[in-house]
Amino acid sequence: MSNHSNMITLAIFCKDVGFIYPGNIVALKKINLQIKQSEKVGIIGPNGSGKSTFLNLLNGSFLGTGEIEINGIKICKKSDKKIKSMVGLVFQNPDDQLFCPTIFEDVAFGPANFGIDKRELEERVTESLKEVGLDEYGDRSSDHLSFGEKKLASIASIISIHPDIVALDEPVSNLDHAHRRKIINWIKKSDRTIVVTSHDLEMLLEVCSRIIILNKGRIMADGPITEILSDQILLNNNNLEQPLSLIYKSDNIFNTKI
Amino acid sequence: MVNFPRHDHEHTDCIFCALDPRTKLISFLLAIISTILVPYHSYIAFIVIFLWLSSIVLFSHKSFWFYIKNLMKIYPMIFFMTFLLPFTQSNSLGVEKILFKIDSIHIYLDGVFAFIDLNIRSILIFTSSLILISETPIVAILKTLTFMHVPKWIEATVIYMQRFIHIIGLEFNRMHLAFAARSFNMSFFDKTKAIAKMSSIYFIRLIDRSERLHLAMISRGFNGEIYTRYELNWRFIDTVIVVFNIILFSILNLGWII
Repeated sequence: MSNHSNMITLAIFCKDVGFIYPGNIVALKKINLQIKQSEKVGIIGPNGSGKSTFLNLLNGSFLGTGEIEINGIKICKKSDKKIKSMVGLVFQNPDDQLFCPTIFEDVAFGPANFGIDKRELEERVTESLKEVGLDEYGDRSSDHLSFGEKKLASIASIISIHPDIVALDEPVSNLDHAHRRKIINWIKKSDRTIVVTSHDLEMLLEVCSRIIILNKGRIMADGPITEILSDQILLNNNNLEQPLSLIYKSDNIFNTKI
Repeated sequence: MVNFPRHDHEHTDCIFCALDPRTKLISFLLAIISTILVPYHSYIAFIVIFLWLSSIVLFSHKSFWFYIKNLMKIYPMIFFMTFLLPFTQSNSLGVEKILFKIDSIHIYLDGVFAFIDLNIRSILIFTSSLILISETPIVAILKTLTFMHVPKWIEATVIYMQRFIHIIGLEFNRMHLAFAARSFNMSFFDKTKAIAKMSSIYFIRLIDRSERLHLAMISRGFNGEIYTRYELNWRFIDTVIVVFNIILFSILNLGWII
């Protein structure tokens, strides 16, 4: 436990976090940030800006330089298991996340590896599938689900671990409206700390209170979502576009007589 | 389109499928081990194993044609591995038995026999594995492995491979589709060149996908634990079949009828 955690237990504390891929490809450089318990934070940035790498670092799947603490526990090889039980990572492509023969077994995979006994495990799986509205899909193979259902199943496979923090990598990309709405509603309802990367700024406006812009592995901006997304120059400098709902709001386009 | 065979029906809708997976696994392991161990040129033993497999196909869900079709997919690989054998002298005694020669190229009788022997063995082993995976759900195989206390890494490999095989098919189909959509006016030479380049990309993609699959496993704290809901159900008929198979394959391997 570090000194700062004596004052307040942050959900996520990052100090000088960096990551370099083999081939000397720098993904993240000196990231410093703090995320409070139950905060919902969006991470945006162009492709290759280091968003997914950052989520992998939070979960302890990648080990980089610098210091990351989850609920006051420093990420290192020793705390690996504890960290993975605290941070659930939902991958961008559900086909990478779901690999068991049936959805039930996939959702049970995480808790089984954390030594949960059979009875509780089955309860957790049923509960998690219910939470995402897939309670009747347990016996199906992931190959027989639609892309949206696979995304929801991926989320269920993480909820069953009962993590304090959920890291979602592009949760609504390539989804139809119905499944997009289901995921948005789930994020809104959840009382967990949520870190979500996305290019869907409308969705982030709806679910997050804070946003971080990553570009070329660095934090370019960090603050309240409406404030950041209203800054046209900042967005342009980072190859981002202002969400339509904010443009309409500021221009009051609906009230303008044409 | 590439579709790898897998179990895709209820386990009670054919006589063979309704057997306990332990019976199936033990029987097929015995068949495979026998096929490997039967003495050289034991054609009677090969015929017995072939008849044994045929009788299983009769009581199974899939048709003979299904197995022949899938065998034809893998046979080029078997042929590729063995086609040089007739040109080699496999007789350890050093006695040359040349079947015929064209200039300096010699076709050895022992080489031809070795070629036939290895082809038959490979076909029988492959067919055995094919029947087993087509007629047994992967969860049943996993449950059996857990019951038999096989090391966890073997179970993990099985679950990883069943997903990986699916990925191989998916990636191949995607690349094939992309190639077919743009290769309508290409000469045979250009097509061959493009396919050669594609195969290297294909393997890189497979490695990439398998790495992501592995990442999905470790991000959920994977330590070898795999949960399966399948219930094993051993009946009297299973005992009879296992005893019969043990006797049959013991006789074959001890060479009592050869």
